[in-house]
Amino acid sequence: MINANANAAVAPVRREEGEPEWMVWVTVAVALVLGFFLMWYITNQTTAASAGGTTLSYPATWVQTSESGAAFAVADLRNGGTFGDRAAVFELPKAELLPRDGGLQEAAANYTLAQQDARVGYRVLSVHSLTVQNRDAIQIESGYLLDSPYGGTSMPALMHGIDTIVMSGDTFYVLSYATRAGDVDNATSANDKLVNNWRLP
Amino acid sequence: MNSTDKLADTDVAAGERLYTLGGRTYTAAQYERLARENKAAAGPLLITVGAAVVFAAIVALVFGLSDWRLEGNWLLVAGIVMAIVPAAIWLVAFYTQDRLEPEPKTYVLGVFLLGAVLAVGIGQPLIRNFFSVQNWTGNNLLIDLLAAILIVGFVQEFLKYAAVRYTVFFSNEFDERVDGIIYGAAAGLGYATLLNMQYIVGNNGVDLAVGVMRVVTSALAQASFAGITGYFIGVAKFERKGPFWLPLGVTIAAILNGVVSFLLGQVTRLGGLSFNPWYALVVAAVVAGATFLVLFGIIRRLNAATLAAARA
Repeated sequence: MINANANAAVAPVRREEGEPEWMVWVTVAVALVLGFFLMWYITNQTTAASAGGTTLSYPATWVQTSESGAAFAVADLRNGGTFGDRAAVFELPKAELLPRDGGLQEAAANYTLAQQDARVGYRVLSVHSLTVQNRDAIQIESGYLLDSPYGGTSMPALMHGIDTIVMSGDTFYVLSYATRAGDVDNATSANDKLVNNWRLP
Repeated sequence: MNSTDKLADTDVAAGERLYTLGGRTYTAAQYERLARENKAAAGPLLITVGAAVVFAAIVALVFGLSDWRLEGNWLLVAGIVMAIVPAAIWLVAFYTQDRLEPEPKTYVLGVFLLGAVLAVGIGQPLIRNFFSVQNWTGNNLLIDLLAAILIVGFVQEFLKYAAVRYTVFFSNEFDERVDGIIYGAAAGLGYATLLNMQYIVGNNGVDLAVGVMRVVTSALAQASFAGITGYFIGVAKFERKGPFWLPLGVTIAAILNGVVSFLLGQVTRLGGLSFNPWYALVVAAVVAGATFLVLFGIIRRLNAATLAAARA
Protein backbone atom coordinates (compact mmCIF):
# COMPACT_ATOMS: atom_id res chain seq x y z
CA MET A 1 0.00 0.00 0.00
CA ILE A 2 1.27 3.39 -0.84
CA ASN A 3 1.37 6.10 1.80
CA ALA A 4 -0.41 9.01 0.27
CA ASN A 5 -0.24 12.55 1.51
CA ALA A 6 -3.46 14.19 0.42
CA ASN A 7 -1.88 17.63 0.28
CA ALA A 8 1.08 16.68 -1.83
CA ALA A 9 1.17 18.41 -5.17
CA VAL A 10 1.73 16.12 -8.09
CA ALA A 11 4.69 17.23 -10.09
CA PRO A 12 7.62 15.12 -11.08
CA VAL A 13 10.19 15.30 -8.29
CA ARG A 14 12.98 15.80 -10.80
CA ARG A 15 13.32 18.86 -12.95
CA GLU A 16 12.17 17.54 -16.31
CA GLU A 17 11.19 18.96 -19.63
CA GLY A 18 7.57 18.64 -20.70
CA GLU A 19 6.44 17.10 -23.94
CA PRO A 20 7.80 19.00 -26.96
CA GLU A 21 5.25 21.63 -27.78
CA TRP A 22 6.36 22.67 -31.23
CA MET A 23 5.06 19.46 -32.85
CA VAL A 24 1.47 20.46 -32.02
CA TRP A 25 1.98 23.85 -33.64
CA VAL A 26 3.60 22.28 -36.69
CA THR A 27 0.74 19.76 -37.04
CA VAL A 28 -1.92 22.46 -36.84
CA ALA A 29 0.02 24.72 -39.21
CA VAL A 30 0.33 21.92 -41.78
CA ALA A 31 -3.42 21.22 -41.54
CA LEU A 32 -4.28 24.90 -42.01
CA VAL A 33 -1.88 25.30 -44.93
CA LEU A 34 -3.55 22.29 -46.59
CA GLY A 35 -6.92 23.84 -45.81
CA PHE A 36 -5.79 27.12 -47.34
CA PHE A 37 -4.74 25.37 -50.57
CA LEU A 38 -8.07 23.56 -50.61
CA MET A 39 -9.86 26.90 -50.32
CA TRP A 40 -7.67 28.45 -53.00
CA TYR A 41 -8.28 25.50 -55.36
CA ILE A 42 -12.04 25.56 -54.90
CA THR A 43 -12.52 29.32 -55.06
CA ASN A 44 -10.39 29.57 -58.20
CA GLN A 45 -12.15 26.74 -59.92
CA THR A 46 -14.34 27.81 -62.81
CA THR A 47 -17.13 26.21 -64.74
CA ALA A 48 -17.59 26.90 -68.44
CA ALA A 49 -20.97 27.04 -70.09
CA SER A 50 -22.07 27.85 -73.63
CA ALA A 51 -24.33 30.81 -73.78
CA GLY A 52 -25.89 32.03 -77.02
CA GLY A 53 -22.93 31.09 -79.16
CA THR A 54 -20.46 32.39 -76.58
CA THR A 55 -18.73 30.51 -73.80
CA LEU A 56 -18.62 31.96 -70.31
CA SER A 57 -16.33 30.73 -67.53
CA TYR A 58 -17.61 31.59 -64.06
CA PRO A 59 -16.69 30.60 -60.48
CA ALA A 60 -17.67 27.00 -59.79
CA THR A 61 -19.48 28.00 -56.61
CA TRP A 62 -21.99 30.09 -58.58
CA VAL A 63 -25.26 28.52 -59.60
CA GLN A 64 -27.35 28.83 -62.77
CA THR A 65 -30.36 31.08 -62.47
CA SER A 66 -32.82 32.56 -64.92
CA GLU A 67 -33.04 36.15 -66.03
CA SER A 68 -35.62 37.57 -68.41
CA GLY A 69 -34.29 37.68 -71.99
CA ALA A 70 -30.89 36.20 -71.08
CA ALA A 71 -29.36 33.31 -72.99
CA PHE A 72 -27.62 32.28 -69.79
CA ALA A 73 -27.49 33.53 -66.21
CA VAL A 74 -25.53 32.60 -63.09
CA ALA A 75 -25.35 34.03 -59.57
CA ASP A 76 -23.33 33.66 -56.41
CA LEU A 77 -26.34 32.87 -54.24
CA ARG A 78 -24.28 31.00 -51.64
CA ASN A 79 -22.04 33.93 -50.81
CA GLY A 80 -24.30 36.86 -51.44
CA GLY A 81 -27.76 35.44 -50.92
CA THR A 82 -30.54 36.79 -53.12
CA PHE A 83 -28.48 39.87 -53.98
CA GLY A 84 -25.21 38.05 -54.63
CA ASP A 85 -22.91 38.71 -57.59
CA ARG A 86 -24.56 37.79 -60.87
CA ALA A 87 -23.74 37.56 -64.55
CA ALA A 88 -25.91 37.07 -67.61
CA VAL A 89 -25.22 36.81 -71.32
CA PHE A 90 -27.65 38.42 -73.74
CA GLU A 91 -27.72 37.83 -77.48
CA LEU A 92 -29.38 40.73 -79.29
CA PRO A 93 -30.01 41.17 -83.02
CA LYS A 94 -28.09 44.08 -84.44
CA ALA A 95 -31.31 45.85 -85.40
CA GLU A 96 -32.42 45.92 -81.77
CA LEU A 97 -29.57 48.15 -80.65
CA LEU A 98 -28.85 49.81 -83.98
CA PRO A 99 -32.12 50.40 -85.88
CA ARG A 100 -30.21 52.76 -88.14
CA ASP A 101 -26.56 53.09 -88.98
CA GLY A 102 -24.13 53.72 -86.22
CA GLY A 103 -21.38 52.27 -84.10
CA LEU A 104 -20.88 50.97 -80.60
CA GLN A 105 -21.53 54.39 -79.03
CA GLU A 106 -24.99 54.52 -80.55
CA ALA A 107 -25.63 50.90 -79.58
CA ALA A 108 -24.60 51.70 -76.00
CA ALA A 109 -26.92 54.71 -75.94
CA ASN A 110 -29.84 52.59 -77.13
CA TYR A 111 -28.93 49.85 -74.64
CA THR A 112 -29.04 52.31 -71.72
CA LEU A 113 -32.41 53.62 -72.91
CA ALA A 114 -33.75 50.06 -72.87
CA GLN A 115 -32.29 49.45 -69.41
CA GLN A 116 -34.04 52.51 -68.02
CA ASP A 117 -37.31 50.71 -68.71
CA ALA A 118 -36.08 47.30 -67.57
CA ARG A 119 -34.34 48.29 -64.32
CA VAL A 120 -35.63 50.34 -61.39
CA GLY A 121 -33.77 53.61 -60.75
CA TYR A 122 -31.27 52.93 -63.52
CA ARG A 123 -28.46 55.50 -63.76
CA VAL A 124 -25.46 55.41 -66.08
CA LEU A 125 -22.26 56.08 -64.14
CA SER A 126 -19.73 55.86 -66.95
CA VAL A 127 -19.23 54.59 -70.49
CA HIS A 128 -15.86 53.62 -71.90
CA SER A 129 -14.39 51.70 -74.81
CA LEU A 130 -12.23 48.60 -74.54
CA THR A 131 -11.14 45.58 -76.53
CA VAL A 132 -12.44 42.08 -75.95
CA GLN A 133 -10.55 39.39 -77.86
CA ASN A 134 -9.26 41.93 -80.34
CA ARG A 135 -12.74 43.26 -80.99
CA ASP A 136 -13.98 46.70 -80.18
CA ALA A 137 -16.32 46.70 -77.22
CA ILE A 138 -17.99 49.19 -74.96
CA GLN A 139 -18.58 48.98 -71.24
CA ILE A 140 -21.36 50.71 -69.35
CA GLU A 141 -21.18 51.11 -65.59
CA SER A 142 -24.50 51.75 -63.93
CA GLY A 143 -26.40 51.78 -60.69
CA TYR A 144 -29.93 50.48 -60.19
CA LEU A 145 -32.26 48.95 -57.65
CA LEU A 146 -32.81 45.20 -57.64
CA ASP A 147 -36.06 44.02 -56.14
CA SER A 148 -36.04 41.09 -53.77
CA PRO A 149 -37.57 37.89 -55.12
CA TYR A 150 -39.63 37.83 -51.91
CA GLY A 151 -41.87 40.59 -53.16
CA GLY A 152 -42.54 44.29 -52.97
CA THR A 153 -42.56 44.57 -49.18
CA SER A 154 -38.87 43.56 -48.95
CA MET A 155 -36.09 46.12 -49.24
CA PRO A 156 -34.51 46.31 -52.69
CA ALA A 157 -30.71 46.35 -53.02
CA LEU A 158 -28.61 49.01 -54.71
CA MET A 159 -26.63 47.23 -57.40
CA HIS A 160 -23.52 48.18 -59.31
CA GLY A 161 -23.79 46.91 -62.88
CA ILE A 162 -21.12 46.59 -65.55
CA ASP A 163 -22.43 45.69 -69.01
CA THR A 164 -19.96 44.82 -71.77
CA ILE A 165 -21.27 45.04 -75.34
CA VAL A 166 -19.47 43.42 -78.26
CA MET A 167 -20.66 43.14 -81.88
CA SER A 168 -20.01 39.94 -83.81
CA GLY A 169 -21.52 39.68 -87.28
CA ASP A 170 -25.13 40.79 -87.09
CA THR A 171 -25.40 40.14 -83.40
CA PHE A 172 -24.62 42.10 -80.29
CA TYR A 173 -23.41 40.07 -77.31
CA VAL A 174 -23.85 41.60 -73.89
CA LEU A 175 -22.15 40.29 -70.76
CA SER A 176 -24.00 41.85 -67.88
CA TYR A 177 -22.37 41.66 -64.46
CA ALA A 178 -23.80 43.11 -61.26
CA THR A 179 -22.88 43.15 -57.60
CA ARG A 180 -24.11 44.99 -54.55
CA ALA A 181 -22.91 48.58 -54.70
CA GLY A 182 -20.12 49.56 -52.36
CA ASP A 183 -17.03 47.63 -53.32
CA VAL A 184 -15.90 49.10 -56.62
CA ASP A 185 -12.49 47.40 -56.66
CA ASN A 186 -13.96 43.95 -56.15
CA ALA A 187 -16.66 44.58 -58.72
CA THR A 188 -14.15 45.68 -61.34
CA SER A 189 -11.86 42.75 -60.61
CA ALA A 190 -14.67 40.18 -60.75
CA ASN A 191 -16.04 41.67 -63.95
CA ASP A 192 -12.59 41.72 -65.59
CA LYS A 193 -12.17 38.01 -64.83
CA LEU A 194 -15.50 37.21 -66.43
CA VAL A 195 -14.82 39.36 -69.51
CA ASN A 196 -11.31 37.92 -69.97
CA ASN A 197 -12.72 34.38 -69.89
CA TRP A 198 -15.66 35.15 -72.18
CA ARG A 199 -15.21 33.44 -75.56
CA LEU A 200 -17.04 35.02 -78.48
CA PRO A 201 -18.03 33.28 -81.75
CA MET B 1 11.84 1.20 -7.74
CA ASN B 2 14.06 3.47 -5.67
CA SER B 3 15.66 6.11 -7.77
CA THR B 4 19.33 6.80 -7.43
CA ASP B 5 19.15 9.74 -9.83
CA LYS B 6 19.98 13.15 -8.55
CA LEU B 7 16.87 15.02 -7.45
CA ALA B 8 16.65 18.65 -8.33
CA ASP B 9 13.93 20.88 -7.04
CA THR B 10 11.60 18.95 -4.82
CA ASP B 11 12.36 18.00 -1.30
CA VAL B 12 12.21 14.28 -0.79
CA ALA B 13 12.58 12.77 2.66
CA ALA B 14 15.67 10.65 3.08
CA GLY B 15 14.94 7.04 2.27
CA GLU B 16 11.52 7.84 0.85
CA ARG B 17 10.51 5.41 -1.84
CA LEU B 18 10.22 6.93 -5.30
CA TYR B 19 8.21 5.70 -8.27
CA THR B 20 8.85 6.13 -11.94
CA LEU B 21 6.15 6.33 -14.57
CA GLY B 22 6.75 6.92 -18.24
CA GLY B 23 10.24 8.21 -17.54
CA ARG B 24 9.19 10.54 -14.70
CA THR B 25 9.74 10.14 -11.00
CA TYR B 26 7.18 10.64 -8.24
CA THR B 27 6.84 10.32 -4.51
CA ALA B 28 4.35 7.77 -3.23
CA ALA B 29 1.70 10.41 -2.57
CA GLN B 30 2.06 11.94 -5.99
CA TYR B 31 2.04 8.55 -7.65
CA GLU B 32 -1.18 7.51 -5.99
CA ARG B 33 -2.83 10.83 -6.70
CA LEU B 34 -2.21 10.82 -10.42
CA ALA B 35 -3.70 7.34 -10.73
CA ARG B 36 -6.69 8.03 -8.51
CA GLU B 37 -10.16 7.42 -9.81
CA ASN B 38 -12.09 10.67 -9.62
CA LYS B 39 -15.79 9.94 -9.37
CA ALA B 40 -16.55 13.54 -10.29
CA ALA B 41 -15.13 13.05 -13.79
CA ALA B 42 -17.12 10.33 -15.53
CA GLY B 43 -20.45 10.70 -13.74
CA PRO B 44 -21.19 14.36 -14.47
CA LEU B 45 -20.22 14.10 -18.12
CA LEU B 46 -22.35 11.02 -18.69
CA ILE B 47 -25.20 12.64 -16.74
CA THR B 48 -24.84 15.70 -18.96
CA VAL B 49 -25.17 13.60 -22.10
CA GLY B 50 -28.38 12.00 -20.84
CA ALA B 51 -29.86 15.10 -19.23
CA ALA B 52 -29.12 17.30 -22.24
CA VAL B 53 -30.88 14.85 -24.55
CA VAL B 54 -33.89 14.74 -22.22
CA PHE B 55 -33.89 18.55 -22.04
CA ALA B 56 -33.80 18.80 -25.85
CA ALA B 57 -36.60 16.26 -26.21
CA ILE B 58 -38.82 18.07 -23.69
CA VAL B 59 -38.29 21.50 -25.24
CA ALA B 60 -38.78 20.13 -28.77
CA LEU B 61 -41.97 18.36 -27.80
CA VAL B 62 -43.41 21.26 -25.78
CA PHE B 63 -42.74 23.88 -28.44
CA GLY B 64 -43.18 21.57 -31.42
CA LEU B 65 -46.55 20.12 -30.47
CA SER B 66 -48.16 23.05 -28.70
CA ASP B 67 -49.32 26.39 -30.07
CA TRP B 68 -47.23 28.22 -27.48
CA ARG B 69 -44.95 30.64 -29.28
CA LEU B 70 -42.48 33.18 -27.97
CA GLU B 71 -41.70 36.29 -30.00
CA GLY B 72 -39.31 39.23 -30.06
CA ASN B 73 -37.03 39.73 -27.07
CA TRP B 74 -38.60 36.86 -25.15
CA LEU B 75 -37.64 34.47 -27.93
CA LEU B 76 -34.08 35.83 -27.91
CA VAL B 77 -33.77 35.56 -24.13
CA ALA B 78 -35.22 32.03 -24.15
CA GLY B 79 -32.71 31.06 -26.85
CA ILE B 80 -29.76 32.45 -24.90
CA VAL B 81 -30.88 30.65 -21.74
CA MET B 82 -31.27 27.48 -23.82
CA ALA B 83 -27.68 27.87 -25.09
CA ILE B 84 -26.36 27.92 -21.53
CA VAL B 85 -28.35 24.91 -20.29
CA PRO B 86 -26.01 22.06 -21.41
CA ALA B 87 -23.00 23.71 -19.76
CA ALA B 88 -25.08 24.51 -16.68
CA ILE B 89 -26.19 20.87 -16.39
CA TRP B 90 -22.57 19.74 -16.44
CA LEU B 91 -21.38 22.37 -13.97
CA VAL B 92 -24.15 21.52 -11.51
CA ALA B 93 -23.53 17.76 -11.89
CA PHE B 94 -19.78 18.29 -11.59
CA TYR B 95 -19.88 20.36 -8.43
CA THR B 96 -22.47 18.08 -6.88
CA GLN B 97 -20.19 15.08 -7.26
CA ASP B 98 -16.77 16.73 -6.95
CA ARG B 99 -16.85 16.89 -3.16
CA LEU B 100 -14.00 14.67 -2.06
CA GLU B 101 -11.30 16.92 -3.36
CA PRO B 102 -12.95 19.44 -5.63
CA GLU B 103 -11.26 21.08 -8.57
CA PRO B 104 -11.11 24.84 -7.96
CA LYS B 105 -14.30 26.42 -9.28
CA THR B 106 -12.35 29.35 -10.66
CA TYR B 107 -10.14 27.02 -12.72
CA VAL B 108 -13.03 25.09 -14.24
CA LEU B 109 -15.03 28.25 -14.93
CA GLY B 110 -11.91 29.98 -16.20
CA VAL B 111 -11.20 27.26 -18.75
CA PHE B 112 -14.88 27.25 -19.74
CA LEU B 113 -14.81 31.02 -20.32
CA LEU B 114 -11.45 30.84 -22.07
CA GLY B 115 -12.92 28.28 -24.49
CA ALA B 116 -15.72 30.75 -25.26
CA VAL B 117 -13.35 33.72 -25.59
CA LEU B 118 -11.03 31.82 -27.95
CA ALA B 119 -14.04 30.81 -30.03
CA VAL B 120 -15.33 34.38 -30.45
CA GLY B 121 -11.90 36.00 -30.66
CA ILE B 122 -9.98 33.60 -32.87
CA GLY B 123 -11.86 30.44 -33.85
CA GLN B 124 -14.98 31.73 -35.54
CA PRO B 125 -13.32 34.75 -37.22
CA LEU B 126 -10.67 32.42 -38.63
CA ILE B 127 -13.18 29.84 -39.87
CA ARG B 128 -15.93 32.15 -41.11
CA ASN B 129 -14.07 35.30 -42.15
CA PHE B 130 -10.57 34.25 -43.17
CA PHE B 131 -11.29 30.81 -44.60
CA SER B 132 -14.98 31.61 -45.31
CA VAL B 133 -15.74 27.89 -45.44
CA GLN B 134 -19.46 28.59 -45.68
CA ASN B 135 -18.89 30.21 -49.10
CA TRP B 136 -17.12 27.39 -50.89
CA THR B 137 -18.42 24.20 -49.32
CA GLY B 138 -21.69 22.41 -50.01
CA ASN B 139 -21.09 21.27 -53.57
CA ASN B 140 -18.82 18.27 -53.11
CA LEU B 141 -18.94 15.77 -50.22
CA LEU B 142 -15.19 15.07 -50.25
CA ILE B 143 -14.32 18.77 -50.22
CA ASP B 144 -16.83 19.32 -47.42
CA LEU B 145 -15.26 16.54 -45.35
CA LEU B 146 -11.70 17.79 -45.93
CA ALA B 147 -12.68 21.35 -45.03
CA ALA B 148 -14.47 20.13 -41.92
CA ILE B 149 -11.32 18.31 -40.76
CA LEU B 150 -8.45 20.52 -41.97
CA ILE B 151 -9.98 23.89 -41.15
CA VAL B 152 -12.92 23.61 -38.75
CA GLY B 153 -11.64 20.58 -36.85
CA PHE B 154 -8.05 21.69 -36.39
CA VAL B 155 -8.90 25.31 -35.52
CA GLN B 156 -11.49 24.34 -32.93
CA GLU B 157 -9.54 21.51 -31.35
CA PHE B 158 -6.29 23.44 -31.19
CA LEU B 159 -7.99 26.32 -29.39
CA LYS B 160 -9.57 23.96 -26.87
CA TYR B 161 -6.18 22.32 -26.43
CA ALA B 162 -4.59 25.73 -25.87
CA ALA B 163 -7.25 26.66 -23.32
CA VAL B 164 -6.07 23.74 -21.15
CA ARG B 165 -2.41 23.30 -22.10
CA TYR B 166 -1.32 26.88 -21.49
CA THR B 167 -3.32 27.49 -18.32
CA VAL B 168 -4.32 24.82 -15.77
CA PHE B 169 -1.81 22.31 -17.14
CA PHE B 170 0.91 24.05 -15.13
CA SER B 171 -1.19 24.17 -11.99
CA ASN B 172 -0.73 21.83 -9.04
CA GLU B 173 -4.49 21.34 -9.15
CA PHE B 174 -4.00 19.41 -12.38
CA ASP B 175 -2.96 16.40 -10.34
CA GLU B 176 -4.78 13.45 -11.90
CA ARG B 177 -4.76 12.00 -15.38
CA VAL B 178 -8.51 12.40 -15.56
CA ASP B 179 -8.24 16.17 -14.98
CA GLY B 180 -7.31 16.48 -18.63
CA ILE B 181 -10.74 15.22 -19.65
CA ILE B 182 -12.51 17.43 -17.09
CA TYR B 183 -10.77 20.62 -18.19
CA GLY B 184 -10.95 19.61 -21.85
CA ALA B 185 -14.69 19.14 -21.59
CA ALA B 186 -14.96 22.52 -19.85
CA ALA B 187 -13.14 24.19 -22.76
CA GLY B 188 -15.33 22.32 -25.25
CA LEU B 189 -18.54 23.33 -23.51
CA GLY B 190 -17.34 26.94 -23.41
CA TYR B 191 -16.61 26.83 -27.12
CA ALA B 192 -20.01 25.24 -27.85
CA THR B 193 -21.90 27.71 -25.67
CA LEU B 194 -20.38 30.60 -27.59
CA LEU B 195 -21.19 28.96 -30.95
CA ASN B 196 -24.77 28.45 -29.84
CA MET B 197 -25.13 32.02 -28.61
CA GLN B 198 -23.78 33.34 -31.91
CA TYR B 199 -26.29 31.15 -33.74
CA ILE B 200 -29.21 32.39 -31.64
CA VAL B 201 -28.26 36.07 -31.54
CA GLY B 202 -27.28 36.03 -35.23
CA ASN B 203 -30.75 34.79 -36.12
CA ASN B 204 -32.39 37.17 -33.64
CA GLY B 205 -33.85 34.18 -31.82
CA VAL B 206 -34.66 30.77 -33.24
CA ASP B 207 -37.55 28.36 -33.32
CA LEU B 208 -37.06 26.76 -29.91
CA ALA B 209 -38.15 23.28 -31.00
CA VAL B 210 -35.47 23.21 -33.71
CA GLY B 211 -32.88 25.40 -31.99
CA VAL B 212 -32.67 23.22 -28.89
CA MET B 213 -31.56 20.30 -31.06
CA ARG B 214 -28.71 22.29 -32.49
CA VAL B 215 -27.71 23.68 -29.08
CA VAL B 216 -27.55 20.27 -27.43
CA THR B 217 -25.97 18.57 -30.45
CA SER B 218 -23.23 21.19 -30.59
CA ALA B 219 -22.57 21.08 -26.84
CA LEU B 220 -22.28 17.28 -26.69
CA ALA B 221 -20.12 17.08 -29.79
CA GLN B 222 -17.73 19.89 -28.82
CA ALA B 223 -17.35 18.59 -25.26
CA SER B 224 -16.56 15.05 -26.37
CA PHE B 225 -14.00 16.14 -29.01
CA ALA B 226 -12.24 18.27 -26.40
CA GLY B 227 -12.40 15.36 -23.98
CA ILE B 228 -10.17 13.39 -26.36
CA THR B 229 -7.57 16.15 -26.48
CA GLY B 230 -7.89 16.45 -22.72
CA TYR B 231 -7.16 12.76 -22.28
CA PHE B 232 -3.91 13.12 -24.25
CA ILE B 233 -2.97 16.21 -22.23
CA GLY B 234 -3.77 14.43 -18.98
CA VAL B 235 -1.53 11.49 -19.83
CA ALA B 236 1.27 13.71 -21.15
CA LYS B 237 1.34 15.64 -17.88
CA PHE B 238 2.45 12.59 -15.93
CA GLU B 239 4.23 10.37 -18.44
CA ARG B 240 6.84 11.04 -21.04
CA LYS B 241 5.11 9.99 -24.26
CA GLY B 242 7.33 11.46 -26.94
CA PRO B 243 6.91 14.31 -29.43
CA PHE B 244 4.02 12.77 -31.35
CA TRP B 245 1.68 12.15 -28.43
CA LEU B 246 0.08 15.60 -28.13
CA PRO B 247 -0.13 16.18 -31.92
CA LEU B 248 -1.80 12.77 -32.15
CA GLY B 249 -4.41 13.83 -29.61
CA VAL B 250 -5.23 17.08 -31.40
CA THR B 251 -5.30 15.28 -34.76
CA ILE B 252 -7.66 12.53 -33.58
CA ALA B 253 -9.97 15.14 -32.04
CA ALA B 254 -9.85 17.25 -35.21
CA ILE B 255 -10.63 14.26 -37.43
CA LEU B 256 -13.51 13.19 -35.20
CA ASN B 257 -14.73 16.80 -35.11
CA GLY B 258 -14.69 17.00 -38.91
CA VAL B 259 -16.21 13.59 -39.54
CA VAL B 260 -18.98 13.98 -36.96
CA SER B 261 -19.80 17.53 -38.08
CA PHE B 262 -19.97 16.27 -41.64
CA LEU B 263 -22.21 13.35 -40.62
CA LEU B 264 -24.45 15.63 -38.57
CA GLY B 265 -24.99 17.74 -41.68
CA GLN B 266 -25.75 14.68 -43.78
CA VAL B 267 -28.07 12.76 -41.45
CA THR B 268 -30.40 15.70 -40.92
CA ARG B 269 -31.07 16.14 -44.63
CA LEU B 270 -34.15 14.42 -45.91
CA GLY B 271 -33.93 15.81 -49.42
CA GLY B 272 -34.80 19.24 -50.71
CA LEU B 273 -35.16 21.78 -47.93
CA SER B 274 -36.54 19.27 -45.42
CA PHE B 275 -34.41 18.22 -42.50
CA ASN B 276 -34.83 16.32 -39.26
CA PRO B 277 -32.67 17.55 -36.36
CA TRP B 278 -33.61 14.52 -34.20
CA TYR B 279 -31.18 12.39 -36.19
CA ALA B 280 -28.34 14.80 -35.37
CA LEU B 281 -29.26 14.70 -31.69
CA VAL B 282 -29.11 10.89 -31.68
CA VAL B 283 -25.75 10.86 -33.49
CA ALA B 284 -24.27 13.49 -31.14
CA ALA B 285 -25.53 11.69 -28.04
CA VAL B 286 -24.14 8.35 -29.23
CA VAL B 287 -20.78 9.89 -30.18
CA ALA B 288 -20.46 11.83 -26.92
CA GLY B 289 -21.58 8.91 -24.76
CA ALA B 290 -19.29 6.43 -26.54
CA THR B 291 -16.33 8.83 -26.52
CA PHE B 292 -16.55 9.52 -22.80
CA LEU B 293 -17.12 5.85 -21.96
CA VAL B 294 -14.08 4.83 -24.00
CA LEU B 295 -11.90 7.60 -22.53
CA PHE B 296 -12.86 6.85 -18.96
CA GLY B 297 -12.44 3.15 -19.62
CA ILE B 298 -8.89 3.72 -20.85
CA ILE B 299 -8.09 6.03 -17.93
CA ARG B 300 -9.45 3.50 -15.43
CA ARG B 301 -7.34 0.76 -16.96
CA LEU B 302 -4.23 2.98 -16.95
CA ASN B 303 -4.80 3.94 -13.33
CA ALA B 304 -5.32 0.33 -12.29
CA ALA B 305 -2.11 -0.70 -14.04
CA THR B 306 -0.23 2.16 -12.42
CA LEU B 307 -1.37 1.24 -8.92
CA ALA B 308 -0.78 -2.46 -9.51
CA ALA B 309 2.78 -1.73 -10.60
CA ALA B 310 3.35 0.29 -7.44
CA ARG B 311 2.08 -2.49 -5.22
CA ALA B 312 4.09 -5.16 -6.96
